[in-house]
Amino acid sequence: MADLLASIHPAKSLPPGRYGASTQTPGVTLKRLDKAVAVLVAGRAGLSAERAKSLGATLPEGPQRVVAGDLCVVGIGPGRWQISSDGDPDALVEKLDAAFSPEASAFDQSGGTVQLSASGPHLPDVLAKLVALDLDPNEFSVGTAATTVTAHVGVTLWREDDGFVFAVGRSFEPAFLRAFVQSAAEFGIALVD
Amino acid sequence: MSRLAKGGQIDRSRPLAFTFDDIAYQGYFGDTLASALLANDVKLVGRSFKYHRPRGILTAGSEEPNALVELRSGARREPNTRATTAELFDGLEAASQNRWPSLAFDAMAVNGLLSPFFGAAFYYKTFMWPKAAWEKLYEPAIRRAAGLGRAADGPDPDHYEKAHAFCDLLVIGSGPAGLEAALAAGRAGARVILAEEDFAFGGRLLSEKTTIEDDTPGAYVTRAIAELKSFTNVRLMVRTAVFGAYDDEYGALERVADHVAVPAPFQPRQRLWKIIPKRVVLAAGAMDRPIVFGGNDRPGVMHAAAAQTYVNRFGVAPAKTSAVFSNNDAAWRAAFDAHDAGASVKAIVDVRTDVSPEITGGAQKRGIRTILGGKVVSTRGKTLGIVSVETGHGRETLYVDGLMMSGGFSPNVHLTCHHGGKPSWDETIAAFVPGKCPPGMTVAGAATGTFSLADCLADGGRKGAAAARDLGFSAADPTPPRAESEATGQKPFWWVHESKGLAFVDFQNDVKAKDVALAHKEGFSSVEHLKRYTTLGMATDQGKLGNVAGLAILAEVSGRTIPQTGTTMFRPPWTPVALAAFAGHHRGPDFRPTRPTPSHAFAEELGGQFVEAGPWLRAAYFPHRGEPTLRDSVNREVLAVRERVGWIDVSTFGKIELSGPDVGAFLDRVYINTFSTLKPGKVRYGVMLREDGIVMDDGTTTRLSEDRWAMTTTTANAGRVYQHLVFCHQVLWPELDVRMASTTEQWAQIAIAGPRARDVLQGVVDDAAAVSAEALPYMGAAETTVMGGVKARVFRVSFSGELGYEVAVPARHGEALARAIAKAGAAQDIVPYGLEALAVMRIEKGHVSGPELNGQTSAADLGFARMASTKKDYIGRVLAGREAFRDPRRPSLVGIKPVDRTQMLRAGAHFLKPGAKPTTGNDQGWLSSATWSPTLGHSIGLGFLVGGSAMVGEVFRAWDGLRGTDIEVEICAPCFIDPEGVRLRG
Repeated sequence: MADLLASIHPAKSLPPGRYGASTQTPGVTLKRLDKAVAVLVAGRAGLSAERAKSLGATLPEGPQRVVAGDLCVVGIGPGRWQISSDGDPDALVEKLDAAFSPEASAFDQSGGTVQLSASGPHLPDVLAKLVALDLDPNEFSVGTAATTVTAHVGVTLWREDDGFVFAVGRSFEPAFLRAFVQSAAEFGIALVD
Repeated sequence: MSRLAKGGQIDRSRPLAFTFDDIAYQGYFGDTLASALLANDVKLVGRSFKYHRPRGILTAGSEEPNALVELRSGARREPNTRATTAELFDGLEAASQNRWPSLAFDAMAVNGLLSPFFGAAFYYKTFMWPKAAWEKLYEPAIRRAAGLGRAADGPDPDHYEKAHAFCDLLVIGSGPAGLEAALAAGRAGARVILAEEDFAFGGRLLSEKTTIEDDTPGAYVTRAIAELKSFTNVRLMVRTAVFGAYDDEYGALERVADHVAVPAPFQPRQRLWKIIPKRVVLAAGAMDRPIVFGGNDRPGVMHAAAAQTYVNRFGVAPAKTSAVFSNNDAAWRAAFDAHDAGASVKAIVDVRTDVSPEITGGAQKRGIRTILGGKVVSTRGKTLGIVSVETGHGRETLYVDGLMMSGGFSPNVHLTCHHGGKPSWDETIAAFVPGKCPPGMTVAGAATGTFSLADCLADGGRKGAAAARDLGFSAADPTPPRAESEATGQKPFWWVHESKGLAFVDFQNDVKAKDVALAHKEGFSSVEHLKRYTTLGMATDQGKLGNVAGLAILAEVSGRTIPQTGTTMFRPPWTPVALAAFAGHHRGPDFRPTRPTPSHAFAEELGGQFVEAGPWLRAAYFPHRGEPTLRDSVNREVLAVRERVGWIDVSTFGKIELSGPDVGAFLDRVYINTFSTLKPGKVRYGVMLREDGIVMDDGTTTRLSEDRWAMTTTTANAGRVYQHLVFCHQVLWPELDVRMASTTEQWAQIAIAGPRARDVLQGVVDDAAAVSAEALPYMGAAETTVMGGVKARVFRVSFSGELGYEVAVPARHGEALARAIAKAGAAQDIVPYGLEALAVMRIEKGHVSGPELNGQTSAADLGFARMASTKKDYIGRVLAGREAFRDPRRPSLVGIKPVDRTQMLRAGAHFLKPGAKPTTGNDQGWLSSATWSPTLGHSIGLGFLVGGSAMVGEVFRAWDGLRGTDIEVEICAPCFIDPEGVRLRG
């Protein structure tokens, strides 16, 4: 097992496909999402709830995820949100600027952030190996988010109805996938592009 | 065969074949290696550490000091495994260790004959002189003689992993107290984890016969486990040893696949758990302890509780004919169980003269002889054959092959000590009981010193319910299952003074009663000194077995009570944990994340050779056919850039984007130079200091527009600078309205450098006019598009000293940009160049980098004194003005050339004046960076020299004591190429 990924260079992203135990259905599925991502940072005066209305979504005050249409807003720090949407990165930044400038500034992160959605019957077992947080549904319900570290990789994660979404830095994606695949190998894992 | 015809929790229908020292044996499913060896009459299993004395199996648990063996072979060979905890599996290969040529005849046993010379502090006394002999003779000899097992000689083929678990209540140990605690909290609805280090739940209930609710203890365990399994809020973890109590979390090792020859595909061998509980009930039980008497280490002498385990749990009679030597009632019950199972018990020797009739009656009923007030003074035989007893009426010889000894029970307080809590001495049970426990931990059952089964069941239930209530669950104290309150009488007894032969206190470290007395005689009367002087309580044993007896003997010889003498403390781990478990998946190439640059795949196609730069993997150089050395490739790349054009991926530089009305003011405070005056579309080089005035980092900041700034940092300090800025913003100047985000990952950045750089750039931008010499002058920046509409930022900056641009695009377009640049540059004969060429060119240009920004140099040392603004305050300004920083003798940056141009400079050399001796007093500075300059055709360097630029033209020596070189060098300005910057501005 130590050589599960020995043939794949650590600088290369793992190719899509099945890894680990060849179960009929994979214990976990990890799928890359195609999202525009930006970070919104509030200025010193903060942001009034009124301003968020034009966006159609509230800005959560803590580590929470709020969804409005294709917009997903995740609290990643005081006065900081990671906001993602389908479609064009520039359009997302323009939308945020229109809604919040000059009280807050938006920074495009679409090129630097990769979002991956994880699901499957063995996801809790795999996440227990990767995330040092209590992810019991009673403690970490749908909409709860966290910014933390897994396998020496900084991540923001949140629970959706059918699993979790992980946001990782582009250059850390290969290392994150390796850690995920190694942890999920005993249950079988599918990587989907 | 010593296997009993019936009884025990082994499965006689599932035989398992195994070998010990290459001899084939058979055991059963449910055996440990120890029980299977005993069943096969194998009594000699190891040699002791120091005297190489023959040793047998002493215990039946993780406290085993003697039966340390090697398991498996080849790359899976693992030394020092306790045979008493190794679960038997089909095909297990085991071998004894620390013996030569064989276990039965060990040449090193001569050490035992020399034991009078090998007493306490033998090493300290013997190997004092001559000093030179220590490394050459003594240490190698001692290491050979005193080694235990052999490590595997290949990389471990298995994998290990780490995991986290959270719960309301962690129950450690699944004996009567642990099971009742888990049941009480589980029934209340609390999230419970029950961790058991053994491969079966039940603890002492597996080894004893005391009935619960008129049924066997095994039946009770089965019912309890079935109920616990029915709760979705309870997690049962078997083969899981909780080894340490840390801050709010507990370390535990799950031996997932230690009980099989090879783990199932994709199954880890072991899993290291971090368990984060809100409350903990420690129900770790108690441990039988040895009595110190002559020959108490002879194979065949065994703890009474262990013998009871072998009889009741494994269906093995550890001896054909046994005697007992004890000071307590429990040992008698062990003897009764052995007798009832069909083994012969010749006599029970008890140091007490008043044993309760209930206990003596049991012996009478079975016809077992009792010798009250008696002591065992010596034993004989390679394995036990003869026991000599002082009966009170003289010496008597007993011919037995087994001796069950018991000096009473020590509660397992190990984990209670991990936060510094000291156990306290309980006179009534002559043992240490838990003192101050880690926060949230309560102790239940035998671990508190409450030994009767009925008390343990009741105590566990109470403590489990209390923990649940404490967390807000509704839990009444449960009615404990009805069990017998068996006799627990005992009398403290440690040491048979009349002993003949060596009487061991610590079996694993070969520490004898005499050693303790000698240590005291020689002034080492503190417990801590005793440990270091005699090695008592060292190694994996860590004093679990022998420390209390050692302490008692020290108390006796020093005329103090045990509490006056000291306390036995424990630190993690409870049992040894393999380093592989701590590493988990982070081994080999996964030791830490590898970060590829956006153009990695393209660089690889081009034959790039990569080097680790922190977690990044960067192209170092791109060798061509016919270039035998790295230097050949680097020279070609440098000359290509100087003469034509080259490209390099510089995405690894830290990038921080800022906006907000106060960014200018903010930057003025973090940089030594002024940024608030920077105009949109302009780039400025800046230097940041630490609070102590030392340079932290350098880089450029660009004002992209009125309200948008882009900072770059060095690759190495990317995280640190961002952290620094966040600290400044949050803590120092919260009033400034600045918004920032790290954009290192967002932007792929490719540098194009060389006289033809503009031609290449114009081939990739959509609007060539936007980057013309006029539109984009040196230190200018433009936001534009490339490759047909991809947004891009172009910075006209240069690290190489040539006309240079850095083009940034969102990282997902980074590889495409690199390919587009290579294509656009084909007509110019563009080359990709790597870190090596970059390093050469920055030294040629006199740019400082890591070796100069080394955490010891100030801005003035680096020649930036004039850059520092005197019109504003900034971090590090005050402390940069310290006396030492203004000392004219302080070395500052200069350029270096060898006087004889054929000589090679090497970084690390020290500067000396001609004729000066190489002493610290004569040191004039050091050579920080050196390289071969293909442009100049000789070696060049940068360094720090006393007098700095005033020394230009002088000749010094670069003396390198490490490599044995001493060459004359000429001091020059640090910039070797184009000092006027004509090329940059071209």
